[in-house]
Amino acid sequence: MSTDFPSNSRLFKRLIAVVLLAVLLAIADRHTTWLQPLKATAQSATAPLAWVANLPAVFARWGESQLRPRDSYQQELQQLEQELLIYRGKLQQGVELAAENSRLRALLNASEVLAQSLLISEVVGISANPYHHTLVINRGSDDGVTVGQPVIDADGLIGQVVAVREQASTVLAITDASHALPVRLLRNGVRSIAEGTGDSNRLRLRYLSTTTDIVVGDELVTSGLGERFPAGYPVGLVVSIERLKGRDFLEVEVRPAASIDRSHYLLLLFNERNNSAAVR
Amino acid sequence: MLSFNVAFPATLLLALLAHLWPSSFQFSAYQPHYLLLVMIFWLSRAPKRCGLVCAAALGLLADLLYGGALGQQLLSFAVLGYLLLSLQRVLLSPTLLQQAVIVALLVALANLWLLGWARFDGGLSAVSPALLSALLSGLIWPLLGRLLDTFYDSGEIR
Repeated sequence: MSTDFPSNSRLFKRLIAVVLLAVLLAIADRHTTWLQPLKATAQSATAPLAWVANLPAVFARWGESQLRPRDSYQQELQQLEQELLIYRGKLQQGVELAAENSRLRALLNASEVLAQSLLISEVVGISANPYHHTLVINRGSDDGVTVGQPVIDADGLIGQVVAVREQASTVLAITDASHALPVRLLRNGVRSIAEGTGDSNRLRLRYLSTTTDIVVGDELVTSGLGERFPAGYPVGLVVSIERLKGRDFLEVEVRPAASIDRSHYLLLLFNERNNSAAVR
Repeated sequence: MLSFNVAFPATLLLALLAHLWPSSFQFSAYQPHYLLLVMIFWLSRAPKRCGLVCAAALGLLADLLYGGALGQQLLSFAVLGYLLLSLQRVLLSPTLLQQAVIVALLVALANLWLLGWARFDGGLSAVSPALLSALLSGLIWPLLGRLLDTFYDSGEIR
């Protein structure tokens, strides 16, 4: 290591100046929105870098597809065709149920549930800060993506779009410690708030009374309250319930339904009434 | 051999790419703190060209690019840069093992600082990945330091 250093007092003065700057930035960032444009611009700058960082994975997938024997493709195609047939069959029943649901809601004078359409997107990067769960996807304002849009995978809710650029967007995962969403238990409709923990395999429910009817294995879905997430999308499964002595509330741990850490392809939900121009 | 003006941005770019490599949230907690390693390298090899202000600038860059609250990494990089520069006055020619221990300690401090912020915000992230990431950073340092030295030579006796 080198011996060529600035003097002690000069170094200390610089440190004090930098510490002051850091504290001011932290306060401004936490309590104002002044620095949001700067952060958004910096995030945009990472998009090409994330694209380059993603290239080895793209090449690996391409190489894998080239090396796979033709027979396995035919088998997979056959399996997918069968799955498609099953889902189409279920969908026919779903259309009838949706129409019936719509009629019943009309009878009750309840508001109409909006139909959702989907847009497939690919994860091209994740946050480099391990305590900040954001994903970068390859769809942006050019595809009609907007801030606040829900994102799901094949199994459940992933999160919501928090920043949009022309050809990429940032998605805040439901497991981020700053994220919370209204949920209900599928079994009995009990409402709660599912909070992120900073652990990609864990959510928690807080402030549930000790008398709440909840058991391990209960499924949680979005409640639709707050109008950010449409109702009925799987959020997670209750894996543990603790009744702490001397506390009035339960500590409930939930495993997310979506593969937040593993899904490569995600679906953006579009509200058909508001966004009829979305690519489907 | 590359000049500082070429080697510095090149190492910076490589560190950013390594950080942005799409893996998983769980795995990323165990990753070495590449940008901090780059800062340690340049502060120890060329403190006149990359000193405390340079360390702070790298911290701000980490804040802006990696997400999270602004000021977190700026503060951590600056304080760790100061510690490193102060330590180098005492430890003029550290051995490779000493360097690795210093690197592991600095990365551990940086990771625990970020973890502390996450816990303050209500997160429940574990401590062990932060410490393992520091250990991994210390372990790869001899190799990384040597590798970077082959591309850049400050001309100073170390």
